[in-house]
Amino acid sequence: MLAEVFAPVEQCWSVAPQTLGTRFVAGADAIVVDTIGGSPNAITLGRNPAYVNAAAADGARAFNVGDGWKAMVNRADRFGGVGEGSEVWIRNTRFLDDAVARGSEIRLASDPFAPANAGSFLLREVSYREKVGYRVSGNRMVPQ
Amino acid sequence: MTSDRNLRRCLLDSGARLVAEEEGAFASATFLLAGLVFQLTSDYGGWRLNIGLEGGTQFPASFWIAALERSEEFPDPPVTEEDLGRMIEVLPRLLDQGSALAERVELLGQKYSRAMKERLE
Repeated sequence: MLAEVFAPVEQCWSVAPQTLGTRFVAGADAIVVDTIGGSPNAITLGRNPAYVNAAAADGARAFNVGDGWKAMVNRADRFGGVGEGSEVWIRNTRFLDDAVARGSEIRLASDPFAPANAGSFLLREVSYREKVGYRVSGNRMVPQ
Repeated sequence: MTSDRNLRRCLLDSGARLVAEEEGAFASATFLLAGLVFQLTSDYGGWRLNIGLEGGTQFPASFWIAALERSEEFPDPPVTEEDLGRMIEVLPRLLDQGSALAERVELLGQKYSRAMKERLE
């Protein structure tokens, strides 16, 4: 579905991401997949830059669309913005769904209970997984 | 002018010092003013504001506004698009009472964390 609606991720980037030597590849479903290091079967969620740094350190995958975020958020059609139906959120949730389908460990680089993280994308991601049967356990999310 | 620009202008006009700034999908700008750290951050372009005592824990702007209003409960939702505009309105009062509000803000934060743990753990 995504490949039909959204441009291939390479076309979303105006500038190739250079952060921390990360390597960006597009998955078969055209989802942005940021693979770092040896890519263990794990993803890292958190606030920026904590989750990017943690993923760089331990090789987990992290959702990172680089400079492509501007084109996604500024879309003039119904997929613009950051709401539930936005391209950014759809790609983000697909990243989470794919991770669960792979049986990936879900690591947390930031405290989802901290007031400073209230209302952040991290909370949206954690709440999204919580609604489909995951809970926070220490610095992980695990099936209930 | 957007609300984040208005707030930046308001902080600078009040004597704040910009001490850090990042651009990108997760942009941020950090200001110091009257012993308080004002941290503007964005998730993909939408701005939010956290405030804390210098060297202390950060809390959403709405928690400080709730403390000014003597609320016993943390704001729900804790972050809204109106927070930056509301902060501009109460900034003089916040600067007057800043550190004196910290204990109440901390209590609201503890209540928030407990509520989130009950929901997510």
